[in-house]
Amino acid sequence: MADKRWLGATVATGRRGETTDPDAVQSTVDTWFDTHTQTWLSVYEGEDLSSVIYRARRDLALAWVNDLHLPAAATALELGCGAGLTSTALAAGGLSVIATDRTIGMLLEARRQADDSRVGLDIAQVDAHALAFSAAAFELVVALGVVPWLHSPRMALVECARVVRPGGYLVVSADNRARLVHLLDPRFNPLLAGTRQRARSLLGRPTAPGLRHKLHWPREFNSELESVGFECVMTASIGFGPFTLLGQHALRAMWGLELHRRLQQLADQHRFGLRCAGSQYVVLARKREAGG
Amino acid sequence: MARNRSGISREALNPLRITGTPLPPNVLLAVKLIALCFLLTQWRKLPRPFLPFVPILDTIAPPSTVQTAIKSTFLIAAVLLLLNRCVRVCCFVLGGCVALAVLSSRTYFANNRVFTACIFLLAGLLQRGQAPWFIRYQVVLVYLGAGLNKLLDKDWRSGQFFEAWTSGTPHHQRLQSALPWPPRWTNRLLSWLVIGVELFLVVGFSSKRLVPLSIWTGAAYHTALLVDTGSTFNMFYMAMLSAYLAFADWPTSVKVDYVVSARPVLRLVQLLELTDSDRIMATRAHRRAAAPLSVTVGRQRFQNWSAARMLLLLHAPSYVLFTVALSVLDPRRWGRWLALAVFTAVSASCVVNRRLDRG
Repeated sequence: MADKRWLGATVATGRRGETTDPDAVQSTVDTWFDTHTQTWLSVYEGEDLSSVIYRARRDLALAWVNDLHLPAAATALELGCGAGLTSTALAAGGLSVIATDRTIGMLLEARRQADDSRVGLDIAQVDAHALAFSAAAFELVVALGVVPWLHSPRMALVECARVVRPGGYLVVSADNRARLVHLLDPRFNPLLAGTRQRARSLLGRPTAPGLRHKLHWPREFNSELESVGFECVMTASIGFGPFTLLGQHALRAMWGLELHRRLQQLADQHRFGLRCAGSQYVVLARKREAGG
Repeated sequence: MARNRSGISREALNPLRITGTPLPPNVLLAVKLIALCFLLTQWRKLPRPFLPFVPILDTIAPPSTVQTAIKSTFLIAAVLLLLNRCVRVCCFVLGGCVALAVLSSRTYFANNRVFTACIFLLAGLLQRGQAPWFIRYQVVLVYLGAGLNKLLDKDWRSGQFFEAWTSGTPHHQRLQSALPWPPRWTNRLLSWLVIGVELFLVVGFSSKRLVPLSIWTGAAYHTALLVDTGSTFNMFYMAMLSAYLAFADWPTSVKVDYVVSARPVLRLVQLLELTDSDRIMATRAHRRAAAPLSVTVGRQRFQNWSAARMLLLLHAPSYVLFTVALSVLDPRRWGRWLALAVFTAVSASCVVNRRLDRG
């Protein structure tokens, strides 16, 4: 499963404490991803801002994994492998990778990608909430763009903690609630959520139906990870754009890309409080040793 | 007046200033706006030679060197033009750069770029006090070519071209579905409207008497196209509308009478006066007057909304602001609404004042 909220889906941001039927939610997400497999395939090749951000997220994750200097043939699991680009890159780096997704179409693409790259890759259809692997089976778990689409992210993080061996690593991303893009748009600003809700009820307009992706505050996400047995080693936020005003794209593509590059540079240098203001919050976490 | 070592006053270097050069102020403003828009939207896209129209451009130097040379030359000339230095030479250089870029790459060729190059080159030929008749005839030529081309094209007459052209634009699809008749009728109607407007503009810009009406019609036409298709057609929207500025009568002074107690008027006048780099506004404050704001340009007198509109229309920084905003905003979303809002506000002020006059 992969994160595609900029790919034309009708997406609304989920609110905490919202009660919805988990199976129904997951089924909507699965159906959407199943019907948009082809769209996803091109996303890493595009020159638009969304594609640039996805590539940056994947490159960061791969760079972190590379710096871990895991032993050859160390076992790795990717949740929500999408078209299999990350899994293939990990396998090409010498890891023994199992690529998983909920969607058959995605798994087939991952298989094709691995075959084209001539790397060995195992694929499996699994639910991130209930991983069909034994405990402490992996040195590394990668879950990019998965958490926002789960009906119970905590359940999935618990499962990740179970299958990673003590001292092993998790690379995971969440959709950042503190993203600058949302803070600048009154339609998405989290501080104005109450006002929007009141306005909606005054106007008698229910919340628009559609896919809902969950957003996390960085600190909240770190706490979740720590509560299930991980310690955060590295964190980064990626992606400044596309900037919107009342939900409509504000800038020309060229200026959007330029602004993203400039702001990303500042964020990487931890300047002007932009460190945690990117759209994607990416964490490298290490599972605590027993008794640690 | 503050002067630097070379004896050039700081005021003369003000990019918002359009007087004091060999070019007529309105023509200088037009080329400045085109240069600014090109810098903000097209400059980075200046190509490397690829299948050039003139084969020598492929062999003269490595493609990257040619590209860097064109880009650097354009940038230097544009900056000098904005700073009011050697404006005619800069116009020639800018036109030459765009023309050279078009000649160096078949894939870069587009009518709007050729038109941009022509406007720069023709503006460079102008001298102080000379009417910009060749820019006017260049515009006439563009509309004549475009109008005739469409008129003689079967697909344009039937509306099929328009249908295919706008098939990917959601706004047009919404317009089609909102109208009570079949979409093909809408497309045929719009096709003929486009042909009609373009041919009218040929006549309009050829006759001096019809130029003001043609400017309004052309602005309405291009803004409607922008709103419907969500595209500025690269440089076309800005280059064409800026070229219209060359046909406007640009006064050397404007008398502004305003009532001090009318706060919004006072603020507007203060703001415009502050940014009036050419000092064309001669303001007079009154305690009481028939209208809170009145503007006298030559023998014409405007009041209230019309006066405010005239002030904005004769205020060079407003154009610069609009150009920058339109160059940065996404034309499919906020850019088109901005263009529509500005056009509507300027047009509506005429209607409002006429009603007031009648009242």
